Amino acid sequence: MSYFANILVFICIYGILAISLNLTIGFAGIFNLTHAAFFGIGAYTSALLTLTGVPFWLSFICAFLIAAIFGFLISLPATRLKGIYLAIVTFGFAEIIIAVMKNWQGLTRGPLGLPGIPKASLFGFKFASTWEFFVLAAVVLIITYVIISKIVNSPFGRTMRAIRDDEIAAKALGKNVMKYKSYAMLIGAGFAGIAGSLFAHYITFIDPSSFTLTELILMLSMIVVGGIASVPGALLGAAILVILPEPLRFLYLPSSIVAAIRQMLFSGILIAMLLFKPNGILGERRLLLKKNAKSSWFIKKLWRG
Amino acid sequence: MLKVVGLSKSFGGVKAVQNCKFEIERGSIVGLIGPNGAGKTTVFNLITGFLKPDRGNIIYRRKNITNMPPHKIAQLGIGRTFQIIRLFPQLTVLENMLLAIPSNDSLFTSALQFRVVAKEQKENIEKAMELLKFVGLDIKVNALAQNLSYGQQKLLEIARVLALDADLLLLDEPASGVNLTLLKKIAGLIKNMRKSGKTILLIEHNMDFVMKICDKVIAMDHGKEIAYGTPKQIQKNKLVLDAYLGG
Repeated sequence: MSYFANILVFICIYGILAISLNLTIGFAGIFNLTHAAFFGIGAYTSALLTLTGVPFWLSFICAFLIAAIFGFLISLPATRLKGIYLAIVTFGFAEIIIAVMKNWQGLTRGPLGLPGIPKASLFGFKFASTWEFFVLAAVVLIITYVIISKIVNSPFGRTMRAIRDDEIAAKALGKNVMKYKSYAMLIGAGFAGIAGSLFAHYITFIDPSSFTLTELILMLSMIVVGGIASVPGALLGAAILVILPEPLRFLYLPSSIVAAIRQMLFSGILIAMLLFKPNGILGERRLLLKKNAKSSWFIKKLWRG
Repeated sequence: MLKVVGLSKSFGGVKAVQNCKFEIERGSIVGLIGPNGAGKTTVFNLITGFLKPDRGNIIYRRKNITNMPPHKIAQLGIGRTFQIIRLFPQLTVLENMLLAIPSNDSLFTSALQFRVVAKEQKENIEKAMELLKFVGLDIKVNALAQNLSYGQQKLLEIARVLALDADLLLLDEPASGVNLTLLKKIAGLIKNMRKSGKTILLIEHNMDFVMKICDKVIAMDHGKEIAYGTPKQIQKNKLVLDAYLGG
């Protein structure tokens, strides 16, 4: 039965990642490709701190803070750019972070990774079994879901969506565009950081390969499938993409082939969604009302900025 | 109220605005006219901070606002509309209005203090509805801005700039591309704005419209101010006639 719990834990972790990525891409319109790296920063921060004896709850909070600080720092140059330029800059940052993880061997042990990360524990209670850990992950997911829903539905969220729609008009209405974008990046990165902390203390082993482009594409696929600019959509997308490749396990194929089929499956879904339902299953309801939408707002945004 | 002194801006070799100077009195409607490419919109962009001038100063209420970022200038009370309508297409009419009304939308207060925000929100919705009624868009409150007709979008942009509670309004071609009925309506709206104490600077190519509603007119050509005066004086000015008809 812990097989199902394992799937549920991953739905929670990827749910947090997809929801926070959707905050920056879907609601704030920042084409942020650093998300997987923020996930990694959270994981490494939390793992390194716990390995030196810091309690789990404190390193969990530090994972949020450190990732948020990186999110903020990256937002400073990144939010001055648009469209494809922004995508390249954020992608470049992600690669730098991965390169540091791989090469700062004194701290991260490089490609060897960090083994023996303690399981999560809170006030003396150890989340040892998969089901116990699922409860912790679900609580974190619910908190993330509630906070980000509150943010996007608040006046702050409205301003964020306005900036996504038309930055110049937002400036003319007295909105400090950079500030809102930086906050969006900061919060998005922070939540990716806590997802990283959960991941590290669940798997108990991390190495830089868990936070690369492949992971990022998986997260992007989740919000494309579930729905751009929709909090429940992001969660739904995460659930679908975690569950979908599972049947492959029972085909008893060599693992190298399964990995390749997984990648093909994700790419296939991504292409199919962009062709037939470009705003995703639960994409911002109001975006769907536009009857004559020939190509998705999402695709236009990416190319025009 | 607004004073522009020696304003200059060039784009590469093109001198878009050269040594432009004028003053706008409180409570007046001033028209800014000139052939296409005369530098009118550039002047707007310079005043509102979207462009930085090469030389010159912009004084608003005895405060030097040259080189301030656009959002600061807007917060000081200078609102503008755009030549090409700039609404938030994927937001509703009401949301477009609420964005303009100065309110607390900082992250922590708006995400945490629910009751304060809800109360402010309620007041703002009432204010937005009032303005929407004023321009006749109250039936479209929940429509997406992108689904409005061109005329309705123009009206919404005007209503939105009014919601900003700015004292000086810069309207870039408020009457372009609209039919006669709407033209009259917009003229009425602008006169009403002045009655409620706003000062207006507008760019417009429709001369009847300019002559009817403006107190003063500034004429520009090739980035230079060529004439300033009442509509009647401008109509007779030789330089203006030359600029339009080619002398």
